[in-house]
Amino acid sequence: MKKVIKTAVFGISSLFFVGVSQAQDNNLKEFMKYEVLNGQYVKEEIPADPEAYLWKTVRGKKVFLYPQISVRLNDKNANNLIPKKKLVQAMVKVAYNQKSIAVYVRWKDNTPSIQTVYDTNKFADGVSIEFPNKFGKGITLPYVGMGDENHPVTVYLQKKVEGRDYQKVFISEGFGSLTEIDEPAEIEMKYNKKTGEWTAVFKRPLSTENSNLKAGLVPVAFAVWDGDKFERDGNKSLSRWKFIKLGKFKLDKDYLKYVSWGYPASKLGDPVNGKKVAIQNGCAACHRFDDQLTAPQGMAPDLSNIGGIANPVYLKESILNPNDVVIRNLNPNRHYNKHADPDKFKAYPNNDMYQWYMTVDGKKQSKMPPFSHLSEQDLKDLIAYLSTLKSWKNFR
Amino acid sequence: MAKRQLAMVMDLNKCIGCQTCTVACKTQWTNRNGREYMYWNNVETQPGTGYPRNWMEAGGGFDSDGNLKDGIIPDMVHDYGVPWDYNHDELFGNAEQTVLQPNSDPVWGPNWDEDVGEGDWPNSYFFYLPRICNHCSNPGCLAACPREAIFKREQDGIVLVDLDRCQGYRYCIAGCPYKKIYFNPKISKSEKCIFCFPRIERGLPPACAHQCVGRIRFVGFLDDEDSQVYKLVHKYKVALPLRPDFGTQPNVYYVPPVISPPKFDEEGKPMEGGRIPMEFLEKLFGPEVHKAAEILLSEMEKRKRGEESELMDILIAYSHAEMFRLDENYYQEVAAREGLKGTEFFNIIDERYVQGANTPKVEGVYGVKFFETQPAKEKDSH
Repeated sequence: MKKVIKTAVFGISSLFFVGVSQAQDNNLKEFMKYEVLNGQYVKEEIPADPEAYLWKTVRGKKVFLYPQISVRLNDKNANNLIPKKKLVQAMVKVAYNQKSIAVYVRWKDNTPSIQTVYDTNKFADGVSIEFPNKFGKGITLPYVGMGDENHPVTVYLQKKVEGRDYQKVFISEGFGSLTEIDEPAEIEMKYNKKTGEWTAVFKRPLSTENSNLKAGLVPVAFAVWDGDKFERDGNKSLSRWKFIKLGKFKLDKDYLKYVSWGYPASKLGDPVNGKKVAIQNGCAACHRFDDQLTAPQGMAPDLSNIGGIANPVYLKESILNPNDVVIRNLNPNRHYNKHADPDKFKAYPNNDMYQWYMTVDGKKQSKMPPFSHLSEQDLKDLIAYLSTLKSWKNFR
Repeated sequence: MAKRQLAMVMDLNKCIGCQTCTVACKTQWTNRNGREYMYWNNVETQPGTGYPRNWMEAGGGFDSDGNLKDGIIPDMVHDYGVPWDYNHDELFGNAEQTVLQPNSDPVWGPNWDEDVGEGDWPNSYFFYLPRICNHCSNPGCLAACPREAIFKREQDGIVLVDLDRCQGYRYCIAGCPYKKIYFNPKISKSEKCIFCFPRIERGLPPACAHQCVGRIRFVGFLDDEDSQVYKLVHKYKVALPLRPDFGTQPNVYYVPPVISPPKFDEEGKPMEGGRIPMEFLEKLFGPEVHKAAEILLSEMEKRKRGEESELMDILIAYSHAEMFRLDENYYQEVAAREGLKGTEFFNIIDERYVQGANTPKVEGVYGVKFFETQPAKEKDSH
């Protein structure tokens, strides 16, 4: 009798597992379709020229770039334009050979703008891509906005500046930490008046002093600047982490499983309950999101379009272990504590309320507590909800 | 936070708007390499639009809770004004064939509304307001920089830009309510008044103060009780910061122009009190201006009666040695503390400002060519 029950239970659970794994397969397929860019292997030298014939033969995918509103900068004209911004759609292609990898980015911009040498308030169109310096099994994803202290990234930047070819390579560990490095890279950026599109190609060695991209799955993220909308620095549009598949290298199944966790978020849980979870857990005390706009501006990253720029797995990690991705807030001097006593020259100390981290034993710790006490379902619902947040219309 | 703070006091009752300070600064620092349009020191007419145009309405500074406010970046042509030249060479020897004319069609300049002021004859009024960077205790520019490229020197509170870190994002310009930090489009970096720190470190006052023919400027450390700066700001409280409501706590102070000619009544007889409305001065210098005016006028009366007045003696500005108390040994002590000897003393000049390893090197000394630049060539775009 006992045996029968056991078998029955076994039978049911294995049926259940088959169902789950089929769903997982489907999810993975969707992930490969929408989040993974297939690198095309070529034997010849890869041209950095965006108009080279090769790029007509490489298949691309669309990547969406959202206005950056996690942090708010202080340019009135730029801020006024943010609610009216449109989603940027970029066509991205990747080619690689034994030595190099090249990323092609094409996006629409009807107002080509160049930073001139005789203006104070003209800004350049530009484009940038970033790779984590370290990635792969067991290594968590960096903050998509130029990395964080635990996850340095290499950033390639091209801007249209009159009188010089403004292209730079940086190492970055978060806002304000860009440090220019001397690494080989070829970048070209061209405008096509007929189509109203910019195209840029970034070419770099597969392996450099700082990062080695010889892997089956390489995280990459994109940013573009529209100079006409006063965009520069953090005023930009950015994508979430995407992944380049390089077929010549071994695809680490565990890493694929890790980065695709929770994808697609719409199937992960119930966003309606997720919103309840967010409100009940007091997220709105520090973060602004959706219709929850009571938190003081700058207290914590604005989450209004977090669904556009954060992958489900990144959301999971930042909720469960915020210390893993401590994000530098912008210059702490932006907020002075007017209630404290000023020094003898009437200088006020900074308002610690707006500091996103504390330093404990020389290590930065996020002020956000870990929400590891959430039930698994609540966590999934919350991530499903956060992933629906893709609006910047309420930006003020 | 700064351990000491240098400050400047300007006596507006004595400023004649001769622009000698402006020229001193320009020839020293801003006549080249993309700085041609900048006036780190300017003298504007108030009431007026000022320099850059309508700077008081361009945002920046802090709200009453201490949070940085949004601001805008002035336009080079319409707000700062692009310097122009005249056709002197063409004119020379050909005065009958040609006329004097500018080489471009200027639409705005730093003194476009000079001496306009307000009010109707015979009671029209204006005064001159010389402005440099205020080297604020809570600088808006420093707070705005996402790169944290702006720093306040510990030894004297001078606010400088680290040109290595500056990426030319220009949030500092939006953040400074005085619009006294400028974008150098040629090197794509922000630049500003440096309080002539290379001079200061050798015991010389800033060029603008040294050259001032009206001797209106006093320079010293705010914590040096023997300095005239201290006495004007803290002892007599007659020197006030400009627009204290911007919340940056400026360290340039002004003796308000409370001693102006009288107004005339309808019969042409002089009336009591000065011409410049106290409401306007209150807007510029805060409510303290009334008390400052009282002290200034009563000390003046004292002097008229033949009594002693230390305040009036200071404002007469008898000697540069007393007006500029830079305590030059102070910087030598700083150098000694840092273990610098002999010529190494020069090392304490902030290299962060003077040269940036990543700053593009620019050609030319007198950047005349810079303003002959043709409209942006649409390179690489077809």
